[in-house]
Amino acid sequence: MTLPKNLLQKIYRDMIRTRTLDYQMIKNAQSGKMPCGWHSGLGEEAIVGPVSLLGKDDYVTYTHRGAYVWIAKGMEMEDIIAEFYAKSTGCAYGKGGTHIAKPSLGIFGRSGMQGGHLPLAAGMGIAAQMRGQGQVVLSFFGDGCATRAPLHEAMNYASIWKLPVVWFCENNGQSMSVKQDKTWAIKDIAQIAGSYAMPGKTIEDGNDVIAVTEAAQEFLDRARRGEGPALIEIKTYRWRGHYEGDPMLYRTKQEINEWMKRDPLKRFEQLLLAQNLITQEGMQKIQVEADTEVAKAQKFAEESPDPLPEDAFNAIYAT
Amino acid sequence: MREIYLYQAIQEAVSEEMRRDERVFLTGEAVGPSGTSPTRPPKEIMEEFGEHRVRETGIVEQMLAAGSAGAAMAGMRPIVDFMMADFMFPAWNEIMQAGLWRSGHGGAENISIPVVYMSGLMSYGSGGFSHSRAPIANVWHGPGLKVVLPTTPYDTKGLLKTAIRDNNPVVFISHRLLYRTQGPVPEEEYLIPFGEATVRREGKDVTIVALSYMVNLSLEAAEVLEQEGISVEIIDPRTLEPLDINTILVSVEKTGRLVVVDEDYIRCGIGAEIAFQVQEKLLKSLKAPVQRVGNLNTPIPVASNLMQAVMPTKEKIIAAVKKTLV
Ligand SMILES: Cc1ncc(C[n+]2csc(CCOP(=O)(O)OP(=O)(O)O)c2C)c(N)n1
Ligand SMILES: [Mg+2]
Repeated sequence: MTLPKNLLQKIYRDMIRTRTLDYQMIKNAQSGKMPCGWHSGLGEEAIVGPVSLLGKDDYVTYTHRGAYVWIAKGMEMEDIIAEFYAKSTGCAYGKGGTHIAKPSLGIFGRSGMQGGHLPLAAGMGIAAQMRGQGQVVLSFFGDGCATRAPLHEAMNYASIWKLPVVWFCENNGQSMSVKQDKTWAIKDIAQIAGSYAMPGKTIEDGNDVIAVTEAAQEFLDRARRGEGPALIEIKTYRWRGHYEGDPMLYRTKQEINEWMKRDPLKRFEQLLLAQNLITQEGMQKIQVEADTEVAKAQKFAEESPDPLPEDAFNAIYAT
Repeated sequence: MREIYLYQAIQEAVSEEMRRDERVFLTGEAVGPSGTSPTRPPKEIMEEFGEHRVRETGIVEQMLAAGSAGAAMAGMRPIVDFMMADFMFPAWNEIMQAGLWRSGHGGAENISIPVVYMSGLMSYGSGGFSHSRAPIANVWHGPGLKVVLPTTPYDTKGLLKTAIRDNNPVVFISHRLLYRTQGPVPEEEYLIPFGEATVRREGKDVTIVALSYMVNLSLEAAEVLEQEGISVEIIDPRTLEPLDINTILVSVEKTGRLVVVDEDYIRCGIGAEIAFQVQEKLLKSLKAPVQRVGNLNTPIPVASNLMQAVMPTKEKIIAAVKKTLV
């Protein structure tokens, strides 16, 4: 294992934090009191690993299951929960909702048009390349949105221009209710990398935090050296429905249970315990801190004021 | 003063701004030194700026539009050349989205999206239902974009430089029939602010509002009408967003009559919007219903006589002006 100890501990803490946030948001969505819907990323938290390799100046794009990305990139819980409550204290002052943005952390939002963010990521790569300071872009996308045309345009030009972009496919085999055999003619999406003359890697066990993080490390380093883009695909699974309330007619309880046994967080925890990188007490402490952090942010969001009607018109144009 | 072609005004604006600010880059199909785009930079400029700043591409409209928005949010100032205006359609979602990002982020950290989407109208050629389209009202319709349609070389250079320095997405639409028109352009630097209409011709009987090549058609119509003793005033707003409605109102208050000429489809078009804004303020000053000349909501045919039946012509403008006088 080449990953430093403190990085592994940070990854573990952020996995706990994002999972705690996710459970809170599921409750919020079910309560009917949160105006924005929630797309849970439970079960896919291995992604915290790759994001933890980024610096503040690096760029990310995320999917609608982006909590692990926001948290690992350094966003505050308050910024996120208050925005989902469309409050004036959210990261976009209640105007953006699920389209979470934090420009100073290299998070420029996401539109509701699945796949539309892929060329956006390539464009951030243009900026990084022009600036020439070794910044990189880590761009996440689902197997479902990856069938859209912008993927081709973005990957083709990222390769032609050798942009410092690492493409990261969260392949959970589902596009809403549609399974991958109806959305793709191939099984391993990383196969397409060859068509764009970039390296590609499928990580069959996408819930193995170490494997996922090490693969990302290799490709991010390569991008920072100016050697161009690469594609990682991880096979993983979302425990929850596409949205809270999804009747999930497309899969069985058994399938879900099988995948829950491969929980990326539990497995990572066992590994850290086995290697004495964490103790039982340490784990408990991290969980208690995460609970406190989320509860505080939740209270903040609930008690924050709504935006004012005139705020609707106040940020359309920059001066 | 020296005279240059309009396409040279575009080239000058682009290269001067690229020289002035190293965050500015040019991208698009065939924008390289041997490219076919009318806006391509001359060879020396390509050599001066290198391939990181002149990014010639193939057919990738979504990448051009969204990629440039991404680069802009990350601190660069891209100029995109879509070549033909209807090539904005494959990137429609991305261009509309460019206008949404800032407000969608609540203006957080004063984020800006300084990108220019350039293209040229191709109408009155053989482009037919596709390339002859003039998607002007479409881009004006969505929030968050600025919309510029220059007519003369002077305005083109001054407005394009302003567009490149603007911190918002700007849709900049020129016209193929204007690229090779000449006009005076000073050697010294100048900028033209957005939202300032210009009076192309003074008159007292009827006001025409027109942009881009429609200004030239309207000027021809005004010449003919002059012979018949009808004095036409022509207002060129130059930018639709922001729109200088005041200059239009001042003129209509004087003439009491308004014709809007627009080469986009007439339905839900520029004429409808301007007519509405004018009647809202000046209903009592209007001596006749506002007339619109535009593309008659028909896929644009190629045969010249059919195209003339559908598109604005000098004769239709003359007839519309006369209709306000009966
Ligand atoms: C252009 C567009 N078409 C359809 C949708 C509706 N939609 C939202 S999420 C989704 C599935 C996306 O699947 P995937 O990218 O694999 O992400 P996952 O939900 O599996 O994490 C669809 C079809 C959309 N948001 N945008
Ligand atoms: Mg999926």
